[in-house]
Amino acid sequence: MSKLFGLLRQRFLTAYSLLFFVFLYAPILLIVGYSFNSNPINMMVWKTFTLDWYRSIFGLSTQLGENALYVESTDQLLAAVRTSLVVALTTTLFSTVVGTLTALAVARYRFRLQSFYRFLLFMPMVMPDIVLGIALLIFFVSVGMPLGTGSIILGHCTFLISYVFIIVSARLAGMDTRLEEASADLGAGVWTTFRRITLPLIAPGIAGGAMLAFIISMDDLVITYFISGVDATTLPVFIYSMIRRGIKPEINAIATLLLLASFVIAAVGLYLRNKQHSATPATTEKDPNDE
Amino acid sequence: MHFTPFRVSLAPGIMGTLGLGFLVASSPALAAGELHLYNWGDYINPEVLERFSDEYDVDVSLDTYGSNEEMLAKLQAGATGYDLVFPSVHMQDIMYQLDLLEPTYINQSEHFANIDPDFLRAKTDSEGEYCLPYAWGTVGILYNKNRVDEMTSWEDFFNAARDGKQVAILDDMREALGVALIVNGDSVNATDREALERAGNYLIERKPLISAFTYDSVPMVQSGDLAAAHYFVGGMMYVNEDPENLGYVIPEEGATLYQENICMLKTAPNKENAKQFMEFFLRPEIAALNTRQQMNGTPNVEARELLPDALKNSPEINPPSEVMDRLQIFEDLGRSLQLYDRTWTKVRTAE
Repeated sequence: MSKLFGLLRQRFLTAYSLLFFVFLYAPILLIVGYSFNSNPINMMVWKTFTLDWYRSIFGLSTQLGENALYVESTDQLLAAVRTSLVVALTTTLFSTVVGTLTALAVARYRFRLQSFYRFLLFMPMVMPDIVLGIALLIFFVSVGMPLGTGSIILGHCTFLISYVFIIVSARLAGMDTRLEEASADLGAGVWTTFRRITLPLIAPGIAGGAMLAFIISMDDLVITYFISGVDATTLPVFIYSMIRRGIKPEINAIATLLLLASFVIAAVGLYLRNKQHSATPATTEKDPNDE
Repeated sequence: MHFTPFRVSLAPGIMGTLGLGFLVASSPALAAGELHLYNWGDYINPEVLERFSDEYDVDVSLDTYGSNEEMLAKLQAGATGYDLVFPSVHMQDIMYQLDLLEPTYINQSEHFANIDPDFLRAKTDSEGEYCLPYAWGTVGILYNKNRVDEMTSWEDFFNAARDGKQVAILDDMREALGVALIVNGDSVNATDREALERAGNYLIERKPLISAFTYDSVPMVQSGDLAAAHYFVGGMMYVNEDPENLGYVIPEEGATLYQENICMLKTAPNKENAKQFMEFFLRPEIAALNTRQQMNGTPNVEARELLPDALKNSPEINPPSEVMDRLQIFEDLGRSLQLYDRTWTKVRTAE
């Protein structure tokens, strides 16, 4: 009897987790599917299979121009993707470097008001986006800074530094400080210790922080809306402004390509991590002997 | 908050230098040959911009917004750099009162006679000294011909619902109350309690007949799940593609219309180019080029002549004058908006 119950429970759990994954991934698969739909006006009504949306993204000739009902604005869409990528890459670079340095400073040095700084760094994460957006806009306007790609990058940095700071701090907190002391004991300078001991140990935290920063920057709408300016429309702002005319099918194609790109990045990241894992025991044993 | 000097000293230093360095490199110099438009998404034919750019050797940029309120919020907070914006008529009045607009005296331009004077709707700009009427459209009924016979009025719409057919109304306070006000013979900008109470009761009585309040009714009308829906003239795009099965009508009782105008901002950095663009857009062939792709109404009388027959003779897109007389436009309600809010809440929460 209890065996039957156990079996039932297992079945139920399997079904439950399957449903859970369907719930998570079905909408994403729908987008991929509809990116091949040839209906230019109503993307939820399936017509025939086409690669035209991909062709038009890459500037190849399509039959779309012949359809009078299709409102063409692919150039604008591409410009928005470009702006988004420039912003996300630059922001990721700045906020990762600055966030990591800040985390190191707060973790390794003692100074006055330390916990207050920590609190200040947490603030941008809990602040509602809309407040942050308006505050930044008013700030930029009052210091006379022109709104554009630059202001979006600065604005994103203000809160993404906090995200990187928190992730790297967590990694630092879990790190054994005696490793650094041992390195110093064995005669390594501060820089060598950082490069050979600290950096490799916190690298996963830095990489995680960078990825998170990139994704949040790519995805942010509310804050970006307020601080974007002339000729600096990002992809989320562009998509949002289309609501009155209806979302265009190219969006599906762009989304599919972005998905593909993130899968590739994630796959490469996982591969590198696995490789590092298998190599780790050897290096940790070798390193101290080296120094 | 983010630029407080309390931070670990290294961080803001690095960020400041790098950030500002990038900023200087990336922000374009405001040369004479530029024009920056701030418009609704997908609300202008890119070819119009290309033509202007080629003819006058001006770099045109286009940024987009999704609602009047959004655009106003940003400009009010002090965002600058944009030359021309495309507000709805009631928003133009608000922007005028907030002193955001620059007079252009576009009405003294050579081709201004092309503009039908009926479209100078802004109360604060009845002569056209500020803005140029851009485009307009109606809000009527989109229906599936397989599910209902030809429809001509709101009465038909609700009669179909009484026959058990599914119908939907826009999930928009002013549009939905607008239907009731129009049928009752009141103004869509009425501010007296009795008119609003009548409108509220009209909708509450019919609420059991309404399947949904929604914007996303087109796919359901196409598939026949809805027999008819309250929808924008933009629905004509679908009708033209499938005229056998779909229809769009401006109801006999009347309908609302929306209109956007091209306005120059007081803070426009490129005023000459902006004026040039407005004059460029007065040309019939340019206005027609835009209308052909956008499929909405144009206030440019000469441009209408240049349109393909399907558009020119469409009574839905370019209605005859007796139909025009039955159309009403929303105005800014000021404090009376609360009265609408309350009525709308009553309708939405009624059993």
